[in-house]
Amino acid sequence: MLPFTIEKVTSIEAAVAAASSGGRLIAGGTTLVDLMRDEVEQPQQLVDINALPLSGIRVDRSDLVIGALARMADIAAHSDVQRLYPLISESLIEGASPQLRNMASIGGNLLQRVRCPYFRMLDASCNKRSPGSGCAARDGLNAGHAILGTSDHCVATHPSDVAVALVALDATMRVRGPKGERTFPVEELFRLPGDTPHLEHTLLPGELIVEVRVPGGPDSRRARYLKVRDRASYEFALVSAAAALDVVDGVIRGARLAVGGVGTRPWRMRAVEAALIGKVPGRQVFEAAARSALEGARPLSGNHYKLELLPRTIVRAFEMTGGIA
Amino acid sequence: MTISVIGQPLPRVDGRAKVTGSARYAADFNQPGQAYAVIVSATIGLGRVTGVDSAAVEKMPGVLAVLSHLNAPRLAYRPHKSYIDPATGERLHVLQDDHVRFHGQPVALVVAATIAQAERAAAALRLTYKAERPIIDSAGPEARPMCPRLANSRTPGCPPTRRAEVRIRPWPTRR
Amino acid sequence: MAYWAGSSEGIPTTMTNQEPFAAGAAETESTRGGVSRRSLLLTVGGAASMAVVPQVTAQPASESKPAASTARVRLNVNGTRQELDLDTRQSLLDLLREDLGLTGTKKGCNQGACGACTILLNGRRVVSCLTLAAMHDGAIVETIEGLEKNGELHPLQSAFVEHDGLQCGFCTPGQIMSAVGCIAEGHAGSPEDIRFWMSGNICRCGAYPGIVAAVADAAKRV
Repeated sequence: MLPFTIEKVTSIEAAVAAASSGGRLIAGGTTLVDLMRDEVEQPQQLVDINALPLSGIRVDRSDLVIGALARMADIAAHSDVQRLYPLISESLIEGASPQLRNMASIGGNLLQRVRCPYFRMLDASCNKRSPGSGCAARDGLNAGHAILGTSDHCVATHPSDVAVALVALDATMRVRGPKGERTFPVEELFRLPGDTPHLEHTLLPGELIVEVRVPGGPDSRRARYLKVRDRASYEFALVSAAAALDVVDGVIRGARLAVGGVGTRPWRMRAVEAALIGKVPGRQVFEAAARSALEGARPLSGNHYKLELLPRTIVRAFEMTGGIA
Repeated sequence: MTISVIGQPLPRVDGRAKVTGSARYAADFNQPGQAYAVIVSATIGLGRVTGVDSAAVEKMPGVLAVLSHLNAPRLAYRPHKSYIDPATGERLHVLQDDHVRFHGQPVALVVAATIAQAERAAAALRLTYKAERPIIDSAGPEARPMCPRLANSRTPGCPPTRRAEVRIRPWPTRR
Repeated sequence: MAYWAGSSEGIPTTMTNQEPFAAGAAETESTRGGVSRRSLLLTVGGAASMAVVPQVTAQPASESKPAASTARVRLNVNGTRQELDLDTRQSLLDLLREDLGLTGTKKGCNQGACGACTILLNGRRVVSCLTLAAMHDGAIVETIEGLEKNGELHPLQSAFVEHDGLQCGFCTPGQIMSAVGCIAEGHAGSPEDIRFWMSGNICRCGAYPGIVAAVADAAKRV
């Protein structure tokens, strides 16, 4: 780990000022400290934001509002979240480990970095870590990598679970920076790698995530998160799906689907959703709709299995929502 | 030990030490005046170490020594092998020459007064390598069979291969 | 004396099969060597220091701090107040093991994946290897050494021995501290719950059935 200074701030203004002058914000540190130890990240100034008043969790009319510093464990255990937004609870506890969930903030979770081994290995080619150095994963070990949103420069999957749930539910986020505040859909936080994989998100310099807002609705209660992985727990997704159905009089009136483990960012599947509207929920309906999930998919040498696993996971996730009579 | 303890559900004698954290493992000894060493591992899979840039690292806080094949003491790897040594191939000779035979092979050792100083100094050590391309496809055209000299064989080289024939019959099930 | 010369004696080595690129092998500069396990050598060097300062008024956790690369950290560790000046890079794990001599907490992976370094920080289970000590001035830290009270084992400690929830014991301190947190969180209600909520702790010896039994048993008594 290279030397750094650390300062603790107690106001959002001070955090924004510090971030604007080159400071790196740190909350739980579960991603950052790990990468600093490997020297993948080499911030010279850390700004400890844990004292900021941003850890509240509340219901505002029918929206769930989560402060960016709320810990994954606390959000998942919150009675209102469990009752009204079980998809959020479920996707949170499927991620990381109990210890990490006690430490990690939801803001940090959204901004976490990829798990690609070449990103984390200083001597490997990685355009994300070292722009222009190449991508070792394309022809290397890539069983866990993406089939959607990839480019010649980067094929790493975005690893967050709760981000998939937030994208499925059309959550928005509020950020504050030197020029003031702005609010935008969580889906728009994440960039595709394109030819700039070192740019992962759309936050402007100095911007800090303040809170995430999840709109309530009939489908937010009947949404499920399915995470398919090599182990039953404490493992990243091979494929995951956040699915919700709004069924009225036996007919699908609304559908939501976002998938993880397969995209370079959480992937909203609007074509699959559209194909379900007006249909009677059932396996064959789900299977037919899930076929469009593979549009544009580009497998790598080691992850062809995801072409089979993705539609199956989508089908199973919809079945789990209880949409079937 | 008497026969009376056999078959008895006795609690582990080391149980208390292990559940209280008082059982000590290799890395738990902090003797006064003790130094710490961290291994630096090769980042190529095959080749040679061509340079160990230790000058700056030797000046880092707390660093006592940077060992590599350039200055490590010669160790007495005798030709005789004991029963735990591999019958074919050779034991790893640590820091004895510039060859790198696997990714992660120890190629240097940084010694310092505290573990944190040793870890930081080890992370800062730069090595240069001449990388070679390993042959990893045993069925490929470049692979050549390696055959151990069998104990009683006077024939050099590899014996002719024979294919074993195996017939599989279902295991009879008990009814 | 290179043993490569011995290949003519019929002792095969991996080197005899591999040839460098005909055009000359590539010169590679490594940016770093990898850092792996430690070995212990002896002589010279400083001893671990134990700084015990009686009754220091706890620093309020919310106070702002200017940028610095060293930090004065005040902690309550197992009921004892400690005050240390640290490099900002020092993990809480290394502070416990190296600066305070509390080696019960183990360094397994040093990257938050194995759980052997689990301790309670302000009552919550965390992995201490990814915790920067400088960020926790004023915190309360509980480690395995602090569980036993007045010579009496904590119910979890007795349960781990009774149910054989260990073999080599290396993961055990982390398992037990994690289990304290697991039970306090209300996540030890069934074997399925325990297996899921203890999944941040790995046991290479495979003592999981005993661990689950121990946690289930102790949960009734805590």
